Order: sequence, then C-alpha cells, then structure tokens
Amino acid sequence: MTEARITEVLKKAGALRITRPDWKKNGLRLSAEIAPEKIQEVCSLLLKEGYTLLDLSAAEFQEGFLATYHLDNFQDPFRLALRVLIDREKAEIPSVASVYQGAEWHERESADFFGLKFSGNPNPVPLLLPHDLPLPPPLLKKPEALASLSALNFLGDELYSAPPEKAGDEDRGKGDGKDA
Amino acid sequence: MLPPLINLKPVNWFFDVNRAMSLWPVTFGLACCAIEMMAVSMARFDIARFGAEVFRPSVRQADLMMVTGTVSKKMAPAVVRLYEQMPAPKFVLACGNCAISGGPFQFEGQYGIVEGVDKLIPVDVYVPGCPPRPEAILEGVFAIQEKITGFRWWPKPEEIPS
Amino acid sequence: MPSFNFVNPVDFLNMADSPGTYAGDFYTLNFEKNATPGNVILNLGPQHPSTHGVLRVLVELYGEYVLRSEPVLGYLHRMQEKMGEVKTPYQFLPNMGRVDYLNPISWNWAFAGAVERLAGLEPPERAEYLRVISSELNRISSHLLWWGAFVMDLGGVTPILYAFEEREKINDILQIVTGSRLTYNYFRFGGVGADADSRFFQLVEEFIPYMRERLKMYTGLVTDNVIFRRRLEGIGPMDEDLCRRYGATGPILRAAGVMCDARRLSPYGIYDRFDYDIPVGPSNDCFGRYLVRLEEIRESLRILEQAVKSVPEGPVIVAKAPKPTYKLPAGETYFAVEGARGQVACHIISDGGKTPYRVKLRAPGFSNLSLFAEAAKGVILADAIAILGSLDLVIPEVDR
Repeated sequence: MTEARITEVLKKAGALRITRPDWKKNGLRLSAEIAPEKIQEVCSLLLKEGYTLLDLSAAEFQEGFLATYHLDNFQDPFRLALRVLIDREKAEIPSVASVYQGAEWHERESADFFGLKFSGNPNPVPLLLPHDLPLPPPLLKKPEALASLSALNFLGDELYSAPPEKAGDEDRGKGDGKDA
Repeated sequence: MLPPLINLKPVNWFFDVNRAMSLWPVTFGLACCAIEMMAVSMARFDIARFGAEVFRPSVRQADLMMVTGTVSKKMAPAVVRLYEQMPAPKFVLACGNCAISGGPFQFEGQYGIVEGVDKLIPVDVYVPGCPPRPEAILEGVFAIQEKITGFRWWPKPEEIPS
Repeated sequence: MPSFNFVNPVDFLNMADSPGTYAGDFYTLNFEKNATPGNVILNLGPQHPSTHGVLRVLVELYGEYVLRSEPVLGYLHRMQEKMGEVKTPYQFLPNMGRVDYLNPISWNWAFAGAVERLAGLEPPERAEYLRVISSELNRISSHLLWWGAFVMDLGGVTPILYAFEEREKINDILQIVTGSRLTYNYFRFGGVGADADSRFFQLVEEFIPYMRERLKMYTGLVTDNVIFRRRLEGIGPMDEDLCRRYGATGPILRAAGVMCDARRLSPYGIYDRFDYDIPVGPSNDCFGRYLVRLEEIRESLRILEQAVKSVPEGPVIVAKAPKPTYKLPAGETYFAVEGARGQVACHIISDGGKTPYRVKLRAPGFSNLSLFAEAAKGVILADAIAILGSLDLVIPEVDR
C-alpha cells in the first residue's frame, strides 16, 4: 500500500531511520530521518510521487537543529515528515528550492529565526525580519533551556533503521523509538 | 509656521469647523483594526454622516491618519515618511491597543514591534480596544472634531445600565 | 527618540551608491541586481488602498508588462511563534484570533485541536456542533469580505457595501457566543468558551435563506457582469503542477481541479456527518477561483442548515476542563484544518514544561503568495493586481 511504497522509495534514497508515528496523536503517517546531503534527492523523488511541501519547521535541540519537512499528497493523502538533524556549529543544509520552489520562502524564514544557512537558495535575504535588526536570531534558546531529542521520543514505532555503516553515526543519542 | 493671511478669530473658527466636518482619512490599515475601520465606513456604522467619507489612498491628499494596527519596526520608517508627507493641518488617531502601546504583542523579549505609534509620530486621539468597535472609532473621530473646534457636536449616547 | 535605525527622508536621496543608480532601500537594491536597464522598478505598497494589509511587491515593468516581481514581507511580523514559546498555551490562545483576523475560528481550531490531539482530550458533542457552526459562519464571512474587496480592487466599489452588510449580520450572530466582532477567541482546550442559546440558533436559521437570496443577487450583479468576466477569464492560470511545487492549498488548488480539502480527506470534528460537496473549479484562472469561493459559501450554508437542526444538548467543554495553568504533555503533533484560504496547521513540539517548546504556524497565505512571482510573469499590471486579489491574502498570517 502507500506506506510500503513510500518506505521503499525512502529506503532507496538513503533514509537513516523510518518510523510510524501515531496518526491520532501526532498527525503523521510516517516520519523519516534523512541525512542533510540527501534531502534534495529525497524531495525530488517525492515530487515525482506527487507530494507537495506543506511546511518547513525548524527547532533547536541539544544535539543541533532539527528541520522538519512536512509533505502531503493531494490525490492520496499520506502525511510525511522528513527530519534532518543539522550540526550546530556548521548550521548548513542544502536547499530544496530547486525541487519545490515554495521552499525558498520557508528556508528564508528558518534562516531568519535560527540563523541556518541553506546553500543553494536563490535569494537568501531576510524574509520576515528587518534586514538590519541588531539582534541574534530570535528563536534560539538559552543553553540551559534546550531539550534533548531522545528525551522527547516522539518518533513512534520503528519501521526501518539503516545499518550503521551507511548511517555513519551511531552515537547520536536517540531513544529506541518504541512507543512510550 | 506662518500666520494665516486673514487672522480673525471668527474666520479661523469657521475654517476649523469646515475642517472638522470634512476630515479626509487616509487608508492606512495595517492589521485587524483596519477591518473595523472599513466597517465604520460601510453602510451600518456610516462615517460619511460625520464628514469623514472620502478615504484617500494617497497621504498627500488626506488630513487624518488613522493608524489602525500594529506598527512593526520594519514598517516604522514608512509610517514616519507618510506622516511627514501629509500637509498640515494633520491629525493622527491611534486606533486599537497595538497603536497605543503595542497591545497584545508587547511581551518580555519582543523584538519586532514599536510599542505604540506615539513613539514615532504625535498622536491626537487614542481609541482603545482590540479591535475597538466601530462606535468607538466614531467617538474617536468626534474627539478629533472636538479638538479642532472646541466642543463636541454630536449628542452623547446614554449609558446602558449594566 | 526611537532607538532603531529609520531613514530620514532627506537622507534617502543620498543613499544612492554611485552615479547612474537611483536610491532605493535594501530590498530594492537586491531586486535591482538582475534588472535590465531601461525597465521601471515599481514598489506597490506597503501602504496601498487594498485590503490584504501591508504587503510590498516589487515589480519590474517593461511598459505595462510585469517581467519579474518579488513580494517583500515582514511589515507585519508580530512574533507569533516567539510568543508561542514565551506564553503558556492558555495565554497564547487569543493570539490565534489575530493571526488571520478574517478567519480566526480556523486558527482557533488549529491550535486548540493540536493541543487536544497531544493531550488526548475529546470535546463533547454540543461543542463539536458549535465548532462547526461557528467555523462555517466564519468561512462565509471571510469569503464575503474577500468578494467585496476583490471586486473593489478591480474597480467596482458597490459590492463591498453589500458584503459588509452580510458580514454585520454574521457578526451579530457570532457576537452572542464569542463576545467579539472580529478577532474571536472562542475555542478552549476541550470544547468552546460559551454555550449558545435559542436566539443564536434562531438567528442562524433566519440567516440561511436570506443569504441564499443575496447570493442570487450577487450572481446577477457581479458574476454575470461582462466587464468583470472579461477582466478575469483567462487571467492567471494556476495549474496543479504549480500548486504542487509551491504547496498552495485551498480554493486555488480546488480551482485547478484537485479535490483536496482537509474536511474530507482527513476529517476532524464531526464534518463526516454532514452531506456537502467540495466545489472543484471548472477553470484554473481567476474566474475559476472566484466561482469556487462563491460555491463554497453555498456549501457552507448547506452544512449550517444540517448542523443547526441536530445540535444535541449537553456541556460545551470536557468535564475536567484544563485550567489556565494547563501544561502540555511532552510530544509533537501536527494538526491541520481547512480554513477559508487553505490548509491551516499548527505544529507543536512540547517538552512538558510550562510553555510549548516550539509552535510553528503553517499559514496558507504564505505558500499561496509564494507562487505570485511565477504566476504573474508577463501579464500587464492590472492583471497582476487581479491575480493578487484572487489569491485571497491576509498579510498577518503570511508574516505571523
């Protein structure tokens, strides 16, 4: 069915971890963790499958920035979340604006709020904030207020996990993904 | 400022009454209060009865600036520039809590709005509310007329016993 | 004196970099980088006599033709997402009325529904019916204001007076339960804020046939008007592929022929109990979008008719209603509702603390406006204004 097909697509494209959240509670059918280099390829495959990018929301955690791409299909609704964990120091991720042109604005907004850099964005000027605002990015938190991704444990039943030699970093500090 | 050519008190008062009875507001709707400003110019709460009918899009042809809505820091230079483009005599009505003091968007750590338009331009009348009812905006216009001419022209509505 | 940098108009003229370029602020200079010399760069806004709010659009004009355009946002950025992290969920609920002031019930529902999903609260039946009734009334009033303002943008100044009179009737009805005319803060976590009495339902029942009569008049006055049709037919086609690449939802997508409505595809509340159609447009130009919205008013009236007949008695909020010091349980949720402009969604991440960890508001106007640059390529300026009007924008939700 849709879940099996999309899981195959994501596995082939190099997803690191695919889980099935609780639809009633989380509002998502599938949640996949992607490495930053692969996000463009995954998005172009999903565009071919008929998915649209609804939203790009970023949040700051102890482990780094988590960018969540929410996608959905018009004809066959199946809401996905692609999660990309970005290193805090480098704070850089390839832009998907070449695939989904609407992402250009979402990325500019996340860059405004968190100081992330989306390499390849066609127009990386501030979108919502004044260009000369003398403040750091507004939604960054104080270090003592940061939560840990593993403590949140919102990812649901695990469907697939890439083998460690492909994933490359076992020591990411994630929970085991079972429903709490 | 130069004195007028004919500086007689009755003549000045006559011109003041004319100015008050035909204020030309500028369509300066920024946020939610703009819808109440539109509602006050529509059929039910007609502001045309009191003279302020002709809403001009260009500030150079207007004399009442109703700042309706939140003024963000990005918009602030535009507000000041528009105020300076208006020819004197000009009046400003700060409509809504956001224009008076930042309103519901004033919180610890706010970075984006100007807390009250009176930090940028001089305000004549403040109309509180979030958003103020169209009747309240009408009372604000009456207060501007009172400021110009010296007394209130329209009957005060009775207080409704609570 | 203000403590931020603002440009004194006299200094403005001295801002030009070099002889041969003219003065412009940061965004104009950024836009000019790819401009062909000899073309006019025009600034539409941020103050303009249109109703969507403070939107600034930079256009590069060759004569009357728009070659390139770029909307500049942020003139009404009110830090809603930061307030979501600073205020408790209960304190943040009134903000939802101000994000999109024409359709606040949908934003109320998105946030309250997201919190209810996370916490596992189920509103009682009567509350669900009141939610549907207020939501559909709000959809009608939002479409009415769009209709009046759109025709006013095109030059017809009369219909907005009719639209506002209808809106006043809806405001009278919703004022009874919500207490406000414009920025409703009606929903609570687990139900709604106040109960409705028999006068409320009687007014709704009287409103439905009245609105149907008025819609017939609107058809004759505007829809069948030859000038109106010539201005809109064939202008600004937005097909499904464009909508998919930009994430556009709502009447824009439905006019392109895609039956995509959150009420039907991922039902929330009790929408699956009612018998209604989702209008899918005949054509994907401005006129198709116009027809879709008018049809949606008719369908909303159908839903209202059915809902008012079968409202059960009972409480309007869950038994152990969350108190104002309510703390969200830890977790993450994404809840989408169908607003008047498209899919309105709230993405909440909570770590169990007093305030949510991250609240992301997904505004339909944000994605809808991003396709303006591509949709308005090569049209004349008047048609670009018509396209902008047919997108049905409300800038506070774009800027949040």
